[in-house]
Amino acid sequence: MHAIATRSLTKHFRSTWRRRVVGLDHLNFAVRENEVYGLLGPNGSGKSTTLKLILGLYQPSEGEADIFGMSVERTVSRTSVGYLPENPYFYRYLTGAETVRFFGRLCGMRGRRLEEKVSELLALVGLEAHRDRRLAGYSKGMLQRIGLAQALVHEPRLLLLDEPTAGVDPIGSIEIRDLILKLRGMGKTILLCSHLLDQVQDVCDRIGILHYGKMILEGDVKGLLARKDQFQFTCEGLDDPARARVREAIRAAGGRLISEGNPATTLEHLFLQSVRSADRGKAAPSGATRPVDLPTAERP
Amino acid sequence: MRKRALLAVALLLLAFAAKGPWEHHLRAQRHARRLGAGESLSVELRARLGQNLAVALLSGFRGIVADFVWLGAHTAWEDQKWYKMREGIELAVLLQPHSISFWDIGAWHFAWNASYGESVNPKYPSDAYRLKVQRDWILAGKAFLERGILNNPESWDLKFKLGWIYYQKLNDPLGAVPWFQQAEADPEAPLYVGRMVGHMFVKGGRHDKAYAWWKRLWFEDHAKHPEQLWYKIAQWGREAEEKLRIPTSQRVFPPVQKKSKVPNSR
Amino acid sequence: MKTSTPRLGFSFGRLWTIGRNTMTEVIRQKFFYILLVFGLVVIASSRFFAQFSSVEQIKFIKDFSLAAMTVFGALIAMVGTAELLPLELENRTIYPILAKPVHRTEFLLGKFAGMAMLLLLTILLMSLIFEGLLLSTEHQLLASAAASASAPGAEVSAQEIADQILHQTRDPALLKAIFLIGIKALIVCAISLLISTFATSVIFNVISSVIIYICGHLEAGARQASLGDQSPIVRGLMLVVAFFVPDLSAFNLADAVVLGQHIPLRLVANTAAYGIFYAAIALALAILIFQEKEI
Repeated sequence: MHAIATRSLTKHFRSTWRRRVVGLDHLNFAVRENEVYGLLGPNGSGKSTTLKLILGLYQPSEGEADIFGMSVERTVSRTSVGYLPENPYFYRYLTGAETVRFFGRLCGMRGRRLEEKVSELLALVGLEAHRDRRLAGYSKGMLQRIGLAQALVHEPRLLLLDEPTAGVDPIGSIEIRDLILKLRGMGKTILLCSHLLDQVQDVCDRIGILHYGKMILEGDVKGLLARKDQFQFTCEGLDDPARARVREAIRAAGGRLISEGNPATTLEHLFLQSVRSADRGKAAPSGATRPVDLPTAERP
Repeated sequence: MRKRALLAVALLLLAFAAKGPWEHHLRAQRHARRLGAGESLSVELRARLGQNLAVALLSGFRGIVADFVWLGAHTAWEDQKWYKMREGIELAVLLQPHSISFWDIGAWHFAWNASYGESVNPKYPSDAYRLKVQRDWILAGKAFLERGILNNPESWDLKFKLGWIYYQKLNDPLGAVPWFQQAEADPEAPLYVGRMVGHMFVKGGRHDKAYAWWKRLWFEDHAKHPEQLWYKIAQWGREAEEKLRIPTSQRVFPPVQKKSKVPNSR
Repeated sequence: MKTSTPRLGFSFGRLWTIGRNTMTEVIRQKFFYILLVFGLVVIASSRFFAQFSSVEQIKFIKDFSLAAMTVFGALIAMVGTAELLPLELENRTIYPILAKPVHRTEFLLGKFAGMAMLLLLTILLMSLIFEGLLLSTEHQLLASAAASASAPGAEVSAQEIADQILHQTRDPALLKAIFLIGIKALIVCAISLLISTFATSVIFNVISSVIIYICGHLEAGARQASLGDQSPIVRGLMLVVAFFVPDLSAFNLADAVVLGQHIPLRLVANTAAYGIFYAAIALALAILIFQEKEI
């Protein structure tokens, strides 16, 4: 059984100016159990619309959607799905613990079981230290994390994350990314909407690209990205004559050299490395030329 | 889904239709008991209040509007502007014709305050004129109370107050008797109302009637009204027996010495 | 799947969770404090009309306090309820809630329940101040009554005067008036919630509520006018008003209570039942609209 399956899912919006706007156009896609699926697309391509349809916040104009085989029109289907909205806002006057407790109660949890769950989730998202602080004083990254905690409170098998790292600083977004991988390790299925492609690439097993409400590309991340006709070496310790010999060897083997040069690190890597070494009390490396391994969690 | 929504809308329309007769029933019940009198305003009242105040009135603030009108009358009394005071009082009872206190205190303002104020008004040419104006105000108070009683026939209080005007301001204690008696007939009336009837007979010189009245009170069940001033009634009864020279054997009221044995004496 | 067709029944637990949170939410808003404090001050100020005689004074305090309870109860109901849904939508706090296994009916009724509890609390507070005023006035009046009745030759005993004062200050019928004021506020609350299911503007909602409130008091007149000799358009309009708008004048028994008129308990119960019936219609309509609403 698929975690999510849509059949001809369509949504029209009425706008005052134009007669009808298509938000989603006969979408067919499925998310398998225990995979991280990335739903990509430019703004207005229908990502959020898809999520809202799956959550029953919108009613489809046509077609249908299921969660673990149960129609999303039924409220009961929401027992197996947790949702982290885009830029989540919760009641600002509640503390972190109160927020998770509130959502736990909404899911019918009570007493000790609820209290234990609250503590467990706050620990999972790393907010134990801030559990009694009001959300009004939370940073964006903390709000995302408390959002994740509330999404998990009723132990759903499926998580819908809408732009989980939007507006969060790089460290925070790495932490959220790690959390997503950890959740996948716990057996959850995750549908992720994002337009921060770097991150999608790091965590997703499969992706789909939406454009004007239509799925224009779908597939396995590695399969989609790998260029099977090309190959890349990254070496150390070669001087100029040695490099010339390598070029010669390539030509002799019948290959064609497409590019060469010092590989540049990404700004993100530079930023992370600087901040972390500053944290350790060391001076930031000056002009790192060596590519640094992504500090992501090991993938299971 | 659509069908269910349509069904729900139909049910709701039915519910809205059902509320009409219900409202009508409630309104009829209120009217029968003269509660919330004058939900529809008389043309006269509307004209006297102006449209805005009329709306406030209809929105359930009749009591407050009347109280502020009354406040104006009260100020006019303090300023000794008797006609202005009268105008305010008249408007207040027009607004709340079931307000016992408006009729009661209004009549008191006329028969006591205005009449006295005019009786010492230096602007008037002669004492005879002052006396006439004074009496006019007393009669105005009496007429006012009579209207109050017409509007509130169930109120013992207004009847009692009308009797009081006969007694205190018109020096006609026997004229007060029927009003005190009517007031006393109301089971809610306090016991002093009944005693006043006897006093009026005494003051009017009708000791025979007073005696009959004291006896009537005396033979009521003492246990039922422990708060009644029984020892006083006994005293007044004895006084009547003295006045009427009732033979000792026929006397009903206990002699003074036995006062302490009278139930619940104070 | 353990069961073939799992069902999610209506839960008062969820309703209560949302209701309690709604109450906290409104209590933390500025307008609520302002209105509540102002209401309490208005009630307390009725004590300053002390130059009146005892009956006048008691009537004034009662009229003033009950009117203040009516006005501030209705205002808190209107403003508080009007903001509930728009705030949830604007702050997007509604998304995570409805993404949980929560029926929309539970959410909406929870909002109503929270507001209803708050109104109960508000009216209770105002009643306490009111009662305090009555008792302090009573205390004062009893003292002066005792002084005047102890004069020699008085035909009325101090006890009898005191009884009359107590009859007015300790009037259990006041509870009937306060009860109906509460029911009226609930109707206003339900109407405002209904409007907020389709109107996004708080101002529009409050204005509409006020208009309906006034129409509700003129409803009886509208019904009459619909039979009168106005133009057919006016008559039709009046008919529509009379059909949809509740008869709020039915709840104006406070004046009669203050005047000491007898109001049978049956009439109070029947009027309250009518009010609850109307609130239920409004809520049902609100649920119907909210079910279909795209959030």
